[in-house]
Amino acid sequence: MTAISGDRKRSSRLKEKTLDGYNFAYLDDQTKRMIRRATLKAVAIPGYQVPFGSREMPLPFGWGTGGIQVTASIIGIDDTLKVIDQGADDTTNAVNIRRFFAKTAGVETTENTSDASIIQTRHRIPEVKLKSDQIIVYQVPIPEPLRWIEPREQETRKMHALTEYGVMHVGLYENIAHFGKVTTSYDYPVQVNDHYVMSPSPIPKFDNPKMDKMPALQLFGAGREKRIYAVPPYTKVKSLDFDDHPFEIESWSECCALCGSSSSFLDEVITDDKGSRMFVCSDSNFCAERRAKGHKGPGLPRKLEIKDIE
Amino acid sequence: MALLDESIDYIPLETGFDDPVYESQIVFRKILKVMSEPGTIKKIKNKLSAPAPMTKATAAICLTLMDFQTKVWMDLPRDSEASKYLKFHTGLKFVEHSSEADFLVFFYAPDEFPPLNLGTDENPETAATVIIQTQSLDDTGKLKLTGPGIKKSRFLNAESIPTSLWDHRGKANSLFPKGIDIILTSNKQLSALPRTTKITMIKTEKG
Repeated sequence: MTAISGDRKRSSRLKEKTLDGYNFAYLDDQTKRMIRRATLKAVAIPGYQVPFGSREMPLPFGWGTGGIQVTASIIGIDDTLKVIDQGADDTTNAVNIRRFFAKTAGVETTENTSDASIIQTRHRIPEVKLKSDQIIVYQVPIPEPLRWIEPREQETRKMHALTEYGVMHVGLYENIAHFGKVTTSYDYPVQVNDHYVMSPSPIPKFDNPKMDKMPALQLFGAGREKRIYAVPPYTKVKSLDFDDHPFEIESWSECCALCGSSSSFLDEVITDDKGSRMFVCSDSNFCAERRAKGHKGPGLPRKLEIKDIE
Repeated sequence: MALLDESIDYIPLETGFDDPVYESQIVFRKILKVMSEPGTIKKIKNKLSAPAPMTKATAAICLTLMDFQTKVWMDLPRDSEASKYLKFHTGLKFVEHSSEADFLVFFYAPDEFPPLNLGTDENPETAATVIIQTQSLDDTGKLKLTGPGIKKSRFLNAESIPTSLWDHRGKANSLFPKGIDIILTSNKQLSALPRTTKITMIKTEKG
């Protein structure tokens, strides 16, 4: 019966590495089963928001409780977890969630995108292409893309059921009529597998094309709004647009001041009160890896002239 | 309610998970993998024993997903060893009518599904999940799969499932977002066909 003793060894390893007095990965098994059943249905109906019994977590709603509950229900002792907040591994939310799972689930954590088996994210998709067998878990504040237009849940359900999304295009059209282009820059609505219109969570629209036919499984958890939804690997994800106003992503005239990348999403950093600024990669791991390979950016912020700003 | 009258006066000889928290997580990830990449085949390595005709994969999936909140219908009598085993280890609710069930377990593939819950247009997630135990699963063909979770196409062969059942599934799934999500098992293997997967029958020379 060596296999059983092997299992025992694993479960004692589980006990050693996890916080005493807590369930493995914090949630009790009954809750996990409920979330797991919801997650399977979410995967089977891509883009559809499955209601689930969101639990009270040891941090307030709005701090990633949906993503944490999804991660807690799928994570195992052999997983390697990466957590990012706006692309960075070292901000408060990311550090705390990573520490939470290191303590309660005893998992290895990493900052390296390629080494991670589960990536929990707040508002970014890593620059490095995700692989098959990886799972990305999004923290979602408002899962219903139609909510801004139609406050009644009964109605939005019907609109989703009938693929009745004309009103979404009206919103985009009004944007174009006013400003000459679509000004939505994050949480840009997408249509999944030609049916459900879905909120991609507040990622910049720069990241939207990465969702299309992504080899990794994408899971979305909204804790306060109690919804789980999913996009299976290799699934069509199309950002809403018009034939004569095709979907466009942001571009910068600058490159990253630290690593010189001109293909990544850049954050603008104000460096003084006289108009100096620099642009740096939002994906901290991507930037650090490039710098380690010897890539260099222009460095010190250049002072902008008033005419540049105008 | 009749369900509550069922006290457990029977302790099965067959064991469930040795360590439920650890093992059910591993089994769930395999179910998640096959459900998100339809047609892929995964293998259960757990040491559990299940009463005939239930195979290891079927037992592991049931132990992972079912509990007192799930209504289950099986094509075996309530007093069968397999029914008692699942009742003891999960506390699930058995239902009389197939249309009430969240999970249907078929140990013998039927020619057509009995009446079952396809969900509604507004709440498609309430649809039943169907677990079918087959004689063998492999990727040699017969069924060509396309849809979400599949890069181009994938092939699957599920022995002992009649063509009429696939036709029935196809008709039900044409009502998308309503539909049937199927988990296939064979001995230690599992695979899945969510409602979004399109099946094309490949005609072999033998017919």
